[in-house]
Amino acid sequence: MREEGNPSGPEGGEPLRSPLENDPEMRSLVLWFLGDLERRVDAIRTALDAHDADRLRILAHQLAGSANGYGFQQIGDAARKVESEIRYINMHREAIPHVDDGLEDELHLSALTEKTEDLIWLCRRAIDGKRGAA
Amino acid sequence: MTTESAPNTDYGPRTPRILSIDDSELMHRLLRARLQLEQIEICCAATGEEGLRLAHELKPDVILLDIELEGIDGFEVLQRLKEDARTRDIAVIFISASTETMDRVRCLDLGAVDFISKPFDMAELKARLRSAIRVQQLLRMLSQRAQLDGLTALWNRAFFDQRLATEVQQARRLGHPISLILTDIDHFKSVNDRFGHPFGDEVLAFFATVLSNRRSNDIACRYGGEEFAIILPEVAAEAAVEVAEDMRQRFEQHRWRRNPDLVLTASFGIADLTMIGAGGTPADLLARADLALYAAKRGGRNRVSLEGMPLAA
Repeated sequence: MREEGNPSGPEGGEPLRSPLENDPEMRSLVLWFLGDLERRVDAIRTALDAHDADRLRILAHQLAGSANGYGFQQIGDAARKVESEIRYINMHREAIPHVDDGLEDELHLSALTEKTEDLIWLCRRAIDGKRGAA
Repeated sequence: MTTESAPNTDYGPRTPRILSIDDSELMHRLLRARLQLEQIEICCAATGEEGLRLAHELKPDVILLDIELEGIDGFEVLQRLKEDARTRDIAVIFISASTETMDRVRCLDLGAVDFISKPFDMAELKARLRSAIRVQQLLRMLSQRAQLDGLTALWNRAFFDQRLATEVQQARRLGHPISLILTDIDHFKSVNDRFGHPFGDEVLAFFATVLSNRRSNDIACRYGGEEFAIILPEVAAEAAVEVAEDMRQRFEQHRWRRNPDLVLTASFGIADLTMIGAGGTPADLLARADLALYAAKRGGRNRVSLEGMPLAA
């Protein structure tokens, strides 16, 4: 999906813009959100590389709940998928702990990695949008 | 304490206060921005523990509570709020990304008033908040009215009984003084007979303002008919005598617009905690004050009496 939507640029994809950029009540807050997103996307990358599922879940959970409110529905949806995936993995791990080895399990790790990469990709497109606006 | 001792000013509308308990600054900023024009005071907590502390401290009307929190989760926070009499009546609205029906059922069964799914629509959130605030303010008004005397807007007998017990217990625990004044308008029946009940009501209402117009810590109650009680936390009997004497004089000196020559008076009886000993109950304290009031009446009325010994007017 990333490849398909990525004909141009190193990160790929059109910059994501928030419809709330032009809302006087929200404009400065959207910019603040994007600033936070720059740090957050680094933290997400670090957590993914470290296979730190708990940290990743918290970072995604916070985005899942609020990205919509800042006008970034796609980011909210992608974050929710990451959160759900980790929840699924945790549930699975609790159900059969002796068989499953959490994130070390290749299938789980690849599914989670794919969803997290999607999220990171969308976040970077939103950050690109901010640079374009500035 | 301050608000409880001034019932006649406390049940009007105040700016609604919302507490948001959510682990994300993203959510707090969003709420603050979106609710800034709503005449709502908004406070935020990042953890369940902090949320519980702020709930006690700030007494919000409504709490917006996320299920997913680090440390104790939203369910646990709700349970603790409901177990504590001081926070039990705060309306709790869950905000959660969970789409599980069981989560919603559990929230509502635990005592939440509403459930909003993330991502939420701001217009919907505002409408649900307004609705919860409306219900909350009506409930607060009803519960306060039930404890207020309709004519004088002082606390009523039911509230007095309950509050005296609490205050006596607290004074004992802290080793602090506490006094009780019982007072009765002299010859009130003949005032009603001579000038009619509407004027009698005016007298009662004015007397109530004399009794409640003092320190914010005092708790003035209409005990029944023309009899009133004032609980004075942190005040020993000698100081309570001065308080009562001041009230006595102000009432006596009042000139009645419709009956300028009329002079009305009241008698006061006082007791404090030292008079009833370590095993004495709130009822004993009341009985001692009543005895003192009886002594003031027997001594010629329009006077303050302490411990059965009438003091000169």
